[in-house]
Amino acid sequence: MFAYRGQHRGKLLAVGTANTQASTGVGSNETNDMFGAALTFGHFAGGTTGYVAVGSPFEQLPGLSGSRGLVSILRWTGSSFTSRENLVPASVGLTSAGGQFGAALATGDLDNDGKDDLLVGAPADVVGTGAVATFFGGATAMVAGTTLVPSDTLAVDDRFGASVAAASIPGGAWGVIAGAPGHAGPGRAYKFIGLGGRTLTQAGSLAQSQIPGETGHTGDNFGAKVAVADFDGTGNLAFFVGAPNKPIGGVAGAGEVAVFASTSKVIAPTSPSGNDGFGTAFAIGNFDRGAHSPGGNSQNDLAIGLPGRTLDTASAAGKLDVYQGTSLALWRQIYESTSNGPQ
Amino acid sequence: MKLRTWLILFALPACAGDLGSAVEPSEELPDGTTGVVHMERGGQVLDVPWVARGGERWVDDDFSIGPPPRQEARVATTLTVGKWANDHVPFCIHLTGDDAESASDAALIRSSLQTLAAISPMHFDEFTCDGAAQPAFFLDYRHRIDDGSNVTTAGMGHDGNTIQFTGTLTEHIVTHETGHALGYMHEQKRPDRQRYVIYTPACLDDPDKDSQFAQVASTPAELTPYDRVSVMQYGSFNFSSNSTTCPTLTWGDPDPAHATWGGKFVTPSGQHILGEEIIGKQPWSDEDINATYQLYEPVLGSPESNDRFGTAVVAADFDGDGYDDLAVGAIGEQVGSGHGGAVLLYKGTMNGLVAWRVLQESDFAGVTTRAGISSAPRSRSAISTATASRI
Repeated sequence: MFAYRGQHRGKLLAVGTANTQASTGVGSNETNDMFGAALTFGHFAGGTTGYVAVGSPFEQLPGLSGSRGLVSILRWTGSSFTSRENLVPASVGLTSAGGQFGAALATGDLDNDGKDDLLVGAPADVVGTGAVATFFGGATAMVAGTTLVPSDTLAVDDRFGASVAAASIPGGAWGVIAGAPGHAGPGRAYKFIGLGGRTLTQAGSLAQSQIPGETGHTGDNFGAKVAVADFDGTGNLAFFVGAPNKPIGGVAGAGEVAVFASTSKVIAPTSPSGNDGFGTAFAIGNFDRGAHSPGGNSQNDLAIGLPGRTLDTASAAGKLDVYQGTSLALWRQIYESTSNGPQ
Repeated sequence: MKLRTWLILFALPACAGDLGSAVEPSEELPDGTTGVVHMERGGQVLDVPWVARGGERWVDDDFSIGPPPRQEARVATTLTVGKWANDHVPFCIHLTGDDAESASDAALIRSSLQTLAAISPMHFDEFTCDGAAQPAFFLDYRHRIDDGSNVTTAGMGHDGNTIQFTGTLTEHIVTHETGHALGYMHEQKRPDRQRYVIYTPACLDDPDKDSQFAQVASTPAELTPYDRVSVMQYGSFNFSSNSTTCPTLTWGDPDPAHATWGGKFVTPSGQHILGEEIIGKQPWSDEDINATYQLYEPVLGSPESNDRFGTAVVAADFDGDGYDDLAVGAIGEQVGSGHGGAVLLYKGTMNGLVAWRVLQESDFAGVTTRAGISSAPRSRSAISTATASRI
């Protein structure tokens, strides 16, 4: 894991050295632990001290079989990252071998106690049925919570917990979404609501078929990536679900992102090349309005990755599509070489 | 005392073209001779007065000689004529006058340009003035021989640009004048300046200096909001006839109920001037940086098979300028001989995301990027961020 420190005036500094399980005191470095497969950041002890949560979903735990997985809570000590604690699946009652605990992570102060909490996905738990667990922030250690119970009965290979995200609205209510990209063929995503306590309540599920004119196909991987945000600033949460393997217009693996908001719709790539993987990753931010400047557009924007997009003869070169504002109009299409500057 | 600085003289180069009478240097032109040249800006032809000095006709203005700008409100010239190729600015420093002063000024110029290069996409490449390796387009930093103001000639893309300094050199002066050479005009010339500053022409020490304050007529897409802390923003007493009572510029405020609105300045002739003092002399600001990245957007990479650019994306305001930025993982990106992956950063600006810079494992001491796409690329499959926080 590598860290950079953001600074004013456009600088980023590399912080410390490359961080491994050994250097941070997490454990020893073993082949295929996949330390760093998922990362999130939170003030898990409250206050201003930040911690990084790092997933090692293929970690083999001492004395236990299979790749059960591990999540490490690291703290920057001024000169290096050091482990505060390791979270293991058994602490929340997940006991299957090979659960890949830590494959997905999300942060949010779900119980509104001033200390961030952690959501951990274990998508391979119980032969790929999957699970999502909560851990609540504490001054010296995380407090194990529970596992989330989605509104459908899960089956093998649903991979619930392959993705997870959380966001709050003014007033302190939380929305949590977790994907089960193998559920019932096309995949599904499950919503939960927190009202300030440590209990997250079922809030139904999301599927492509809920959007007029849309149908899911087996293998779409709907739910492989999820996000939630108060996207339009109205205090209502919008949920975003990627289906990166969905065929579009007969093109296999083009992918799409479904947006569940006051007006739900899907966003699909323009002129897909095949295996674009549109929706493999996406991020929400306001890219054109400074928090302290009057210019630009006050609405959030959405950036969607297409890592499998072919450009000319370069297969899987990758691409980024940026959509602007609540209307989600396609704004800028970015390849690695994209520049409007003089060359 | 308030520095009498930043007069931007744009010499008329031979490439004036169809924009009026081309003005060539001439030894037969006595100093002090005046005239008018027609220049086009924003679709308008303007009559701009010039004064002869050293055999050349100098235009006391902030306009480029060239076609009107296509999209940059802050830029003095156009895409084709105006920008430095490949984000590279060759420069040389003419040392004249006192040797010790010249050496310290040269060091300041170099360090100021290094600072600017570190926060911008620009590369400043020094060469020896008047040598055989002189490139076609370059900046020539030199002392002014006479006692005039700091000046920058023309915009960019013209041969023989000079930046001439007088008096005590500061990093602000170097970067302000270099800003002109990159394409920035004075902030107070923006079309929307009425909402931000009050201009009092009666306080000018010379009516001709009105050109340094004249608003641009055209309103092309802007690169930034009005930036009060821009390196290009004048202070209150630039070209002022009285540097305590008669400010040429003050902060304006559209709300007359604002408590600090007025009454601070009363000129010797009894005129009340509204608004607070502008200090000016700012360093290259956050918005100045954002403008540079829009004008000179760098090329971060090239699309190659299995780069898988877009595998992971995360948004946050990494540099604290208020705009969210974006980090994009390219897990198969070749770095050196291995496919260790890279993270490409895009910068939020008033006009959205622009290419910014690249992060790679070699940013960290002692890290060897492993060869072979099977082993290493997953190291870049997750990016996370800390915003407004400290680790």
